[in-house]
Amino acid sequence: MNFLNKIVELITGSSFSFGKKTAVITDRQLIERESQIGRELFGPIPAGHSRDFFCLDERTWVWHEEWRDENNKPVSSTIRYEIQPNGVLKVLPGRVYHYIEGEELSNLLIAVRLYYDRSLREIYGYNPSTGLPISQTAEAAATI
Amino acid sequence: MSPNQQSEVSNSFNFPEARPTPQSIEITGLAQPEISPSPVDFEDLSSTNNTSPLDSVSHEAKDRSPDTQTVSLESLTPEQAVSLFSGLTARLLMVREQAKRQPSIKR
Repeated sequence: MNFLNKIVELITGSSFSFGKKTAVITDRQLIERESQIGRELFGPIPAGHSRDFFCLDERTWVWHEEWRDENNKPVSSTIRYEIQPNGVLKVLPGRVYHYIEGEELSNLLIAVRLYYDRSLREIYGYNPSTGLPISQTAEAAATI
Repeated sequence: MSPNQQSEVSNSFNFPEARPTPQSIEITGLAQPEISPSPVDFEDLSSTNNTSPLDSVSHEAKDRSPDTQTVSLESLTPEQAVSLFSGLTARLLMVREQAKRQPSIKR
């Protein structure tokens, strides 16, 4: 079970079954799609690393990276960004946390905006600027 | 993993490879998505490209319409940042929730 499965299961309390064909799509599947976009927003992924960046719920964005150390031992790092009334709290492993500010806050905001724009366009088929379905936007443009 | 690599991961949002060119970002052009009954078709996903996210921000800044406002990211207050994050996240989750209800989504 990969990291996405585990964390989504932890939050939603429901398990997921691969290969089970259902009519509806799950949170996990949509998050996985979004994370494919999210992982591209921060430049090249180092060789041997895997990365996820996704919106978990209304208050939480997650960065997760896995790699192997020089002894081929798996290593991972998970950072949560929690949207709180007083700011965006960065939660690092080992109960280390602080509110982010300055350039880091700006860059996270840019990343979230790009994630939002690309997810709406590429996954859900909406124009993020107008809120209209892309097909409808194209039809409107054709009539002008 | 070397200490340098660890540092890079821990400071992942500092974009070590590149710095943001524009210091402002459109914040009021986020229209409320109109939910449509049309199914999401994952077979039609447009291909992703490898352009830098900062290039994309730059491109959006050029296309900004005159009736939108901008806020300098450098002068962004925590309250403004929280408002922006909350707005984007809420809209994203609304669209995601709608997609889950589509009965004919291709998996």
